[in-house]
Amino acid sequence: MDIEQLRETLKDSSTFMVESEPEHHFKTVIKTLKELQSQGYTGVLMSFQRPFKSLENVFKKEDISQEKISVIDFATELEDRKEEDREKTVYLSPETNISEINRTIFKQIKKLEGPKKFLIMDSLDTPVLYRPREEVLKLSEFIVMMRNFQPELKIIFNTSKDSSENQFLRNVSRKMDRVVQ
Amino acid sequence: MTDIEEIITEMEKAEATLVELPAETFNSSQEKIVEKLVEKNGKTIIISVTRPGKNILEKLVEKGIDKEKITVIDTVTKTQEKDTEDTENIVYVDNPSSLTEISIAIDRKMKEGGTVLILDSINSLQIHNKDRILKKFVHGILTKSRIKNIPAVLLATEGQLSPDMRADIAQLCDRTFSLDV
Repeated sequence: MDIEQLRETLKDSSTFMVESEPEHHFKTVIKTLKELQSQGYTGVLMSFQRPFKSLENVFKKEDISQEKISVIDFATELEDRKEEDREKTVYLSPETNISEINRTIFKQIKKLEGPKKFLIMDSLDTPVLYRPREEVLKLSEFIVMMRNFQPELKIIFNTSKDSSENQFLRNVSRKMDRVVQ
Repeated sequence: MTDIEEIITEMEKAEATLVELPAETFNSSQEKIVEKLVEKNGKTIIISVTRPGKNILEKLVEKGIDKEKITVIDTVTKTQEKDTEDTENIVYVDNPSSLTEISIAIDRKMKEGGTVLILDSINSLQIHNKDRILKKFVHGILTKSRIKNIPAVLLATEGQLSPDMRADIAQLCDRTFSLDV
């Protein structure tokens, strides 16, 4: 996905899935975050793949403002580490109950300042390693429904081409305005 | 990318790297990569799924590498000799399916000052473990290494990972390299 395609998608779609080459998966997430920030968005990143400690370094390196992004970190607790939640960082286990995840996302989104808001999930495939597909599908459904309460919200799901979860991802993609590659 | 030196330099810039080696030269390339990484790093943790730890250690020492810089988590030897006792540089794990035991050994060795982690190899682990379990394990060890700031290098034989396994592993890594024959 080139930057023009991303800009066009952001302009035309509210809920979309980005399917990238596995080698470029994380770079695509970062590129999307940078573009959203350059357009004045503030948002929430649901990070299943990387712990906040690692993201923090990437944000600094890539000049992504941490003030304008709230992270829900689902990776750190895999390490049996209990970190204290901070204003912009919430730590959850990837096995957390779906309703609780949903409420946490909603709470974090409500805290965001400014009219332009986004919610981005770094990977739809990774949560499937920790819970049944139906539950991840339910979570994606809840997330898409958030637009009923936050009509300005942009929702972006990320996945990789050739993922083992292709069939499941097709079910999720039906709820999207668009799938971009 | 063809040059091992170049790959090693690039690896140092990433937290998690997947290196695909051609089957024809897998053993020699793998030895060179391990040798270079041990040379450049303080204490290298090698998870070996194909070769006994004793052999790895002997070969590296023959090449003039300080034994103190190497720790092998050996998943092979105990499948033949059940009563093998751990030594200062080798931790013997029951078999390549004992992922929890491997994970505990990694934790211990990281705490003891490991500075780089090499997994040799994904293909071999795939033979002994179900895909989903293996992906969870890889996600877990990459999260560990990101939190502890210890780079991880995953070795694989080129073209031998199924496309979906490759996609799922590559998306968890920062960099992916292929070494030409």
